[in-house]
Amino acid sequence: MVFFSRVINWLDERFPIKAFYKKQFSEYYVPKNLNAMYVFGVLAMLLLFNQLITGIWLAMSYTPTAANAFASIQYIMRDVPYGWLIRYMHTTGASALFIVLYIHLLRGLMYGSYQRPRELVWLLGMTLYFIIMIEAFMGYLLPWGQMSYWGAQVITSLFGSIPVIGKGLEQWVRGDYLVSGVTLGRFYALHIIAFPILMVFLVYLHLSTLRHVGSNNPQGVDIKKHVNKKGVPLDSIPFSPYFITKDILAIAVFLFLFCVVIFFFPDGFGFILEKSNFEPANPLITPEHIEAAWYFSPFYAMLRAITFSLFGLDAKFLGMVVMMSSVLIVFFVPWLDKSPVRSIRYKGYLSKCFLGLFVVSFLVLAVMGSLPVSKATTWISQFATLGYFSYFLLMPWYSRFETTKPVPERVSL
Amino acid sequence: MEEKINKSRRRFLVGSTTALGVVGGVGVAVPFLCSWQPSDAARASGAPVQVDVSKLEEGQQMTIAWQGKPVWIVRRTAQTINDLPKLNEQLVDPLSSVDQQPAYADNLYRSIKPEYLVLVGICTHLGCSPTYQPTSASDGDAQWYGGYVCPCHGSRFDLAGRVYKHYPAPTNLVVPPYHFKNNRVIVIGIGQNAEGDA
Amino acid sequence: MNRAIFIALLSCFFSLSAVAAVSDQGIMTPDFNDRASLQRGLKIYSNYCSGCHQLSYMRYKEISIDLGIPNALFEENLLPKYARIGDQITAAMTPADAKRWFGAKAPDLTLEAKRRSPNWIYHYLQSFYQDKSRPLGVNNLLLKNVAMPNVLEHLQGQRLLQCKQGETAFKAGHGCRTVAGEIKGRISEQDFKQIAYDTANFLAYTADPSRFERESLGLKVLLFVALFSVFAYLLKKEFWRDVR
Repeated sequence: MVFFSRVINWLDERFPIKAFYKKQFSEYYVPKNLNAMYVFGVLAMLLLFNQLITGIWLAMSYTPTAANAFASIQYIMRDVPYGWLIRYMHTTGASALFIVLYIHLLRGLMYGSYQRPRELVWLLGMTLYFIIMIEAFMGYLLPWGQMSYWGAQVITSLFGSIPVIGKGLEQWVRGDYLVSGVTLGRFYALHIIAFPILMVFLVYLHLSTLRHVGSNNPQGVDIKKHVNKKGVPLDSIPFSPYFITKDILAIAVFLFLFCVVIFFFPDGFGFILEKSNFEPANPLITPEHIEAAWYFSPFYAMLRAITFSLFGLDAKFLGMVVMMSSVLIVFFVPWLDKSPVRSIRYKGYLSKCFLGLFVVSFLVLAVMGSLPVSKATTWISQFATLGYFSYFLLMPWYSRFETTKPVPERVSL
Repeated sequence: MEEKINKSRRRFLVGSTTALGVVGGVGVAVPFLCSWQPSDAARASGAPVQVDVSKLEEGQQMTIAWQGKPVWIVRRTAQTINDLPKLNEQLVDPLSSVDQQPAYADNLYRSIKPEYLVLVGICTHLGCSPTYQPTSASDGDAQWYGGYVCPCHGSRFDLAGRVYKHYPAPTNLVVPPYHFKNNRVIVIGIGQNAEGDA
Repeated sequence: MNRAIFIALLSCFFSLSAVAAVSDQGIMTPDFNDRASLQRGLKIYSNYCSGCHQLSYMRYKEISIDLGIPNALFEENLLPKYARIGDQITAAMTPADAKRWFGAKAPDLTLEAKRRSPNWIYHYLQSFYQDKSRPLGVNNLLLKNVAMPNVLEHLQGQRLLQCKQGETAFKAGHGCRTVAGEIKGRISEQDFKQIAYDTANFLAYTADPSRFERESLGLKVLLFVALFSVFAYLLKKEFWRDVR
């Protein structure tokens, strides 16, 4: 023990770890009324770490060439000791990360965590989400199965829909006339090096901006209004040990569910590993039913919902614009919300209804995007797309003019 | 905070949860560390190899791959076999007391049959593969009875894989497990008593 | 001694009558614990499929371990003369030959049960029927214009297509099925179903060989995580008693 504290002191004289621990853990004050919705941030971090480590290990045995990529995945699954476990951790981890991120985002929308002074936290978080989407899309090509190949083909084709520069851009992204080994090579490099570096940097920024302004809470009460003599908010508790123990419990429960999937349902009933991806990529034959990975399904449904031309722009281009806007519009929520209160608990009925409409639209779109195209799915997707966008575009009006409930001065448990 | 904090209970819970967490962390590390073991593909290419030596002429050497390593088979001439005992003075370990060969090859010739020498062709110094020089050493050494010279640091071995004194390699070359399936075929990787079956 | 048991085991596959793990609706569920079934499936693969179809991601050695067939026994009875026990399972027919003889490459079967499903394979093997318009004289209700000959026909017997009035095969919800033709098979219908089951079961195994290891390890991991969760819960509860 004495030796241990001497090591700590030696270090602290050269690098202020004690001050860091105080500032970030033992004397970092967090609202005491944070509920279970607040554990998904740490779970997302855990999963990013999981992706990083398993990804490094997969890269050791994976071959990023059109001829050998598919076989090298089977090499990992069968020949490499515990390769199957490491790969299932990576594939399941990707899906789990998106589930966690969607709940994390919903939490932000529910409790108004994007409002002043947390706009930058929101913007950085959304940027991170956007980067993770691209990262997941590029990683999806690497197994070089039929779904990998045709998914990449469809999405890179979208660049071709941009007027004037489209065709050139499409070929530039692919490095070939169609998706090929060249595309695989660059996606691989970006997937394992460039984007992970970017993501680690963005996680750092997202966290440090959050630590600077402090966490919001389910009631949206500003805890800094009531402080004691030392300046510590009265309604707060230190991060360590209270939220550390809470996060550990959350991680344990999450890991249990995560392991159930990894060890007993690694295919995720075709949602984590699609059936057509067990067939090597074949540029000459498209599989009968091609669908996006489930976590892109809502956006894919919006892309397909646009079946008409408008203002002289063709449906394909409009579809892409709608799809891109559906992600980009979320960035602007801090400025679309004009409500005087943060939390959904004190907002009016309109806000509650629109948030409900948003969630339902998102889920409906997710289902529609995974079904084969028919008249019915197109109609339903179009309505759901309207529902999705109306939540954002009408927000400046309904959030300003509805009657809100008074926000309590102090938090309650 | 009217209730008294039960410090010993806290200490126990913190300790036990931490201990379990450490056990879990080690458990997670296991598959990652194990995955660095040779894969089934590597093991398959390291499986025993059968070699037909009937075409090998006297004084000739052939190289085959076993476990990805070069393995030499030399058919020694009668002259070579006679010369081997004469070298003892110049060798580090002429009687092969260091365990670099299976028991059945622990003899003067370091082989099952004196005529056939089987060696793993990797220098015991730093892992280079020596070159076969049956008649004369590169520096025209008159006393040379044939053997191997390592290109990396000049270590020398005779035609039983025994290392010469005053060169960097510390021990004789390794004799792999092998046996004669019949008069023509040598199986490398499985010893005479079925040992070394990897 | 071992070999005698082995041969007895393999020869009994013609006499097995009960079709295990097939529901009343004819849905087949793989059973990896039924080693006898997996071994029979391997035998069927070796006898009827391996000429054309590879299992190229699978190694003989892995099969011999997972199916509980001793290495030496496996090498003597099941290993082709040209192969070593650690090798991946290749077919004699090259893709180019396949293209020339059947008009299509014979797909690698390692992952077929994942790409389609074990149930699909089970029914596919039973859905061949006579069709004079096809080059090989047979077609399959589950795979239109199938390029594969019905290699099990001598066992199953001739099958004919029977459709409800006005219906044709391959339309969605078609009312077609296959019925026994004049030439009878060498084994009973029940026994043939068993053959289809064993083949599907074996291919389900080749598509997912880590399952043995995965599920037994998974159980231990879950038990550990559950134990950890209990301690994490108690720890959290203990500290949060301060907060009110």
